[in-house]
Amino acid sequence: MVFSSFVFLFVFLPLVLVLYFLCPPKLRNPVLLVFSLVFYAWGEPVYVLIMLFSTVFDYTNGRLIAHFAKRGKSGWAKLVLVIDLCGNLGILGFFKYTDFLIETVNSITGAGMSLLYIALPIGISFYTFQTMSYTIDVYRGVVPAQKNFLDFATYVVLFPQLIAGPIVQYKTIADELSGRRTTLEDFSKGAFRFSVGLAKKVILANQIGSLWSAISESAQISAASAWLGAVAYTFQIYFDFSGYSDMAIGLGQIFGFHFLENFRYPYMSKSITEFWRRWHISLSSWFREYVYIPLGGNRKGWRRQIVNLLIVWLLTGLWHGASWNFVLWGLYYGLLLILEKLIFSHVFQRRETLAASVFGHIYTMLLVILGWVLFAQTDMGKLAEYLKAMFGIGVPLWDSDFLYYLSCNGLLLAVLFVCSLDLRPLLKGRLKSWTVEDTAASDIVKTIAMVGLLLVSFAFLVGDSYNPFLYFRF
Amino acid sequence: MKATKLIMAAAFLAVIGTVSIAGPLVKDREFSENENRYLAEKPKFSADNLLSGKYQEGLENYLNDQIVFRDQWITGKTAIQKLCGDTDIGGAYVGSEGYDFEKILPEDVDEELLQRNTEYVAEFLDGCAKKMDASRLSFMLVPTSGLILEDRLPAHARLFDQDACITSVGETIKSGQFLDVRSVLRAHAQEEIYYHTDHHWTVNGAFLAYEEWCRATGHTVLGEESYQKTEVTDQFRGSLYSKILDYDSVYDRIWKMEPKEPLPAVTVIADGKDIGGIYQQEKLLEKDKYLYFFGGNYGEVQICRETGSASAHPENLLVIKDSFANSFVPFLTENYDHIDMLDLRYYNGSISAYMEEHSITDVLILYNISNFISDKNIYKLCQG
Repeated sequence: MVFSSFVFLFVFLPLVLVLYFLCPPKLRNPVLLVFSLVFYAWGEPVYVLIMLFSTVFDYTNGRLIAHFAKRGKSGWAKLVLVIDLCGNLGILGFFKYTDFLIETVNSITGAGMSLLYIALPIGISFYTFQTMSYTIDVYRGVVPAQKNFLDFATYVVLFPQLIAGPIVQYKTIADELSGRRTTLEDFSKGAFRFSVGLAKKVILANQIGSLWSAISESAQISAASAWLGAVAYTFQIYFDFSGYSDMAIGLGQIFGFHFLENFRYPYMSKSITEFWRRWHISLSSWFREYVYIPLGGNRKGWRRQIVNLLIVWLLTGLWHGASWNFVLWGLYYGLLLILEKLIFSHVFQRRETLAASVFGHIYTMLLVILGWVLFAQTDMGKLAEYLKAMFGIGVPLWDSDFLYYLSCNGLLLAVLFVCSLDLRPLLKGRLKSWTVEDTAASDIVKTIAMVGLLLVSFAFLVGDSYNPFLYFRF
Repeated sequence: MKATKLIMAAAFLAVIGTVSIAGPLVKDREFSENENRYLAEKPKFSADNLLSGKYQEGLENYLNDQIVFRDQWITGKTAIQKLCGDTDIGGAYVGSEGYDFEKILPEDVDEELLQRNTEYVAEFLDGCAKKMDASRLSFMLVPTSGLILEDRLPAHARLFDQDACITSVGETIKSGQFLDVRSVLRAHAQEEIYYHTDHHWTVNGAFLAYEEWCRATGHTVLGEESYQKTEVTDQFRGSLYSKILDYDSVYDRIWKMEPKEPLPAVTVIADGKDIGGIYQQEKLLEKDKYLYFFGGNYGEVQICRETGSASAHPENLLVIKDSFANSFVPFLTENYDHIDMLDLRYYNGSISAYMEEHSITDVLILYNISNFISDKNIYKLCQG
């Protein structure tokens, strides 16, 4: 089930809200657990069993690791952790990468192994990463093992972040799993956040997404259209993905959970390094915490750091999908980050001049837009064609199609541009107290905005057939 | 503070809750007049449907189609899009002066299919020419409004090159007459020759093409003044309106044109059933008022004028057509006492056998270019 669907908005959500708040606190986790299983099984009626298996597997391993650690048998604890990681990565690898591996082996050796055509369980990359964060942290002694199976299962299958993130690490909500309070304040903030996320997905992302699909599917494009398409996708993926995260964070807050932020206005970045501190934060922190730093990070000399960065970014690329363009996309960012960390930071003195800042924004966004083309075109042949078009090779510089696309989407693009900026620091005085500050007046303004956004979102959901789920490869 | 938080939470629940509860309370609609299509019904629940995901998909479609105020949500969305300057809405173009246009992109043209369709028609006409007088064979490809009313199309809107398509088809046709009506329609582009909200041509457009046909086939051109033109409705919102659902869309007028000099009535037999004439008055009460002409499309329609004595028109005309012919063929009843109309989408018999059986002497093939490039039934022309 996805958030931007009628079944979710008008059947699932009202039911879970009513039952959750009618039940005494003791029964609230079971309510969430049952609803979350229905939420997942709605889209994956069979693969829900894999998720249940993972839950039992990781719960048991967590308990075992804690058991051995308590008795000082660190060797045994380590063994269980290794088994756990192999199990999780084995499931992920089997469902996500088997066919990719067979294809690759076939193309290198010329062997004719037949593909297994394994359908990828939705959200598997998100929940395996979440459960691995749990067992690793139990092993490291960061969190105690969860003894209550229902509480642990609630964490694994919690529907708000289940299928499109953020990757909520166990330690973030460990306390809230058993002893959380639901307050009116959290409910209202969560409801507002959810509505904003829904509007970002349904109004902004879907609308500009149809421009990207029109351009990428059109038989002949000019260089200007190719860039316009890339910009359209750049906005689509941001508003879609951060919209999902907003909805997840908002829903979590309604039920009393406080997830960490996943996006912090990434398109305002002045460097690629900064971009990755603001984009899909839960994924980059996961890789930093559980891969980059354990590999030694930057503490073992620059040669080793380069290798570590390449490993992390190869994995980050592959995490987004089993296809060569994602490998390319990951390594592209790996190389850019190596260049920034090891060379640019020494060459360019960090001076906060206007020119440096303007250059930083332009340089970052050009590379990010180019990066999204690598990301969006999963077919290598089409990717090459599209890149050629962007660089004006064999295509006209611009054409009348470009003018038409621009005339239909010009205003929308302006809205998207403004919405991807953090304008809060610019607000002053009354305007500030009516909007961003926590005042009664701002609550009223937000309420009106929220109702408006919900109604317009519903209108766009009813009237539009274009409502893609972009994360089916993750 | 607490109170405003409560208002906010209550507003959220009220908005979601109202739409959720109102849906099941309001009776389901079977058909959407505005969108001109059947709406989804409640899906059947079974273990198989659930495991295959059919039930889930069905329920999603059902909730979407049966949401309260469905039409109002869509017109709301269209209004917002128009406000943003978007002219590409619901799979159609919103042009100026109230004109909407079909959106058919260059990549929608299946070149191979077009080539094959053209070859089928050429082969069929070649075959006919061996048996009958080539001057009695004609083939008319009607352009869509996007070409003729180009000045009212949104600037730079993407459209397939129908000019090139029509020209290339015309060059391939060797037997019979290829009737090119582009220039005569262009010359009258300021008159209402196409509907604003429907993809069809009006009788005005059809009449211009009819005169062109008369000239090409040696029939007398009578001129508009010998016809009585009657407006039968001014409340028509057609297929393009159904796609866009624009709240301030114009209403179209539908006319019929009949010779001032009255002729004996015609009998119209559609798929074996007498439908009581060409014009279907009761269809004007429905949403799709273009059905006024013949009431729709049938596999076979026979139009006979009972002249009593020996016929003044011994020729028998076969029309192979799409829906554009429905407002064109009425003019032909003046030139033929017997017309047979076949729609290849619904007629599956052998055409040559049919022609033999009905002693066909004249043939007209009439298609709109957007149907001609996409129709997968034209091969039937050359079948057995």
